Amino acid sequence: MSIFEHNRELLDRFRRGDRAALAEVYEHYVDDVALVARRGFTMESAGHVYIRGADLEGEHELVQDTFVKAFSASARASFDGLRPYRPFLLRITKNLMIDRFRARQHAATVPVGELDELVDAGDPGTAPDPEADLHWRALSEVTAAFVAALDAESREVIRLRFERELSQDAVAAQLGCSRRRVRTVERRVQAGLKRHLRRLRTTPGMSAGATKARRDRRYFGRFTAVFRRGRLS
Amino acid sequence: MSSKHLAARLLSRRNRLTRDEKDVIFARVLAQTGRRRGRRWPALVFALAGAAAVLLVIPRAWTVRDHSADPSFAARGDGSAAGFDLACAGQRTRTCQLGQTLVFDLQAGRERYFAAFARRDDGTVIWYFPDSATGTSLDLRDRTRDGVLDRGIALDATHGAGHYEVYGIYSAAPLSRADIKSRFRPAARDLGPGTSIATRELVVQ
Repeated sequence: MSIFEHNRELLDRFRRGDRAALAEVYEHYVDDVALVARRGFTMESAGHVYIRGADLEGEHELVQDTFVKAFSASARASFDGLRPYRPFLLRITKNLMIDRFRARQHAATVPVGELDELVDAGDPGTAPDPEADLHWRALSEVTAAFVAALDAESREVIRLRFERELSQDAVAAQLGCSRRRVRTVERRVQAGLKRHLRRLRTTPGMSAGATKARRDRRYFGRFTAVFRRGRLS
Repeated sequence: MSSKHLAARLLSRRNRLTRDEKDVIFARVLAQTGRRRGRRWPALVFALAGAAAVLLVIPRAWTVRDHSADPSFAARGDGSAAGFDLACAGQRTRTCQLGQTLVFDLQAGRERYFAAFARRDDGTVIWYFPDSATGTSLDLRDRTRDGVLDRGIALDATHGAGHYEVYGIYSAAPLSRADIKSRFRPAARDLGPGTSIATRELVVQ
């Protein structure tokens, strides 16, 4: 259901650019937008096109650019509140991804008209990315082992701060310690994890992961298209 | 890639935007949508924000108005002294719009700690750092990337429009607001040994 449905007051504030209203709309849809940006999407038309998702920085940029466009004064003023808002946002995200895809492909490889038709073909949702999923699972397993080896206090701080996303103040209150202590533990664990991951990348058993990580860093703004019926490049 | 954000996602066991990431992006969205139409998103923001990896926007509550500030907080300094630059919407500027985020581009090689406050023409003092009456100036280790401080100031209605003098105070040791007030002298370039003061003009429209 659209966030604006049966909420005329929110729509009015949104169209005026009220910061709290923008925040409410952003919170409601940001995960959907980020999911598409992260995982990419597939489109069916003359072929099967897979626009690959972005890495972490690319995801940030796509989410940001999507909401910048959606929250512009002209876009807000022209939104009537009747149309579903989520497809509107995701269309912006996908168009941005296709723009980046085009910018990094040889002009001859992707017929522009065809992509436009594909975008208009509908909302196929996000695409699975087995390679990225595998990489994430590998990192997650390493992280789980790292966390399991931490002391009890650190594990509890991690659980409350990152899994439950409580503020440092809330965690401090719950654990009966100072906010500074929470911050110290949090930083220590994050730094330790980063060191741990860096060490593992340099070991022979993680060489494939290191290669993947290097490739991940190049994901920024880069997307690939795979056509079931004939590769174009 | 921001290793901090990746580490946070791994620790949360969810590959999705964390609270911090959402807040950072939203602040950037507001900063961009608050600018004049037709201007391009300046390259500086990509360079600086990208390098800084994270821009934490100081919430409203962190900008504390101190109307009872010491009257000695008068505009002073030569204003041209290097020490830091101000940027809004990715551009070094002295004029920012309400809704934008004020970013500090600090000079490398200064002291380890940094404090800042702004004084409006009507005498209102707004503390930026320390962010609370009991806090101390920021430890710049791990807080800057390419000189850009990882915390910005939300120039919202609470901050208010007006003409400001922004004071940046570098120090070798952390300073509280009380320390700064007690040691501040008009026209002085420092608060004593191991400190230095730089100023910048800021107009918020």
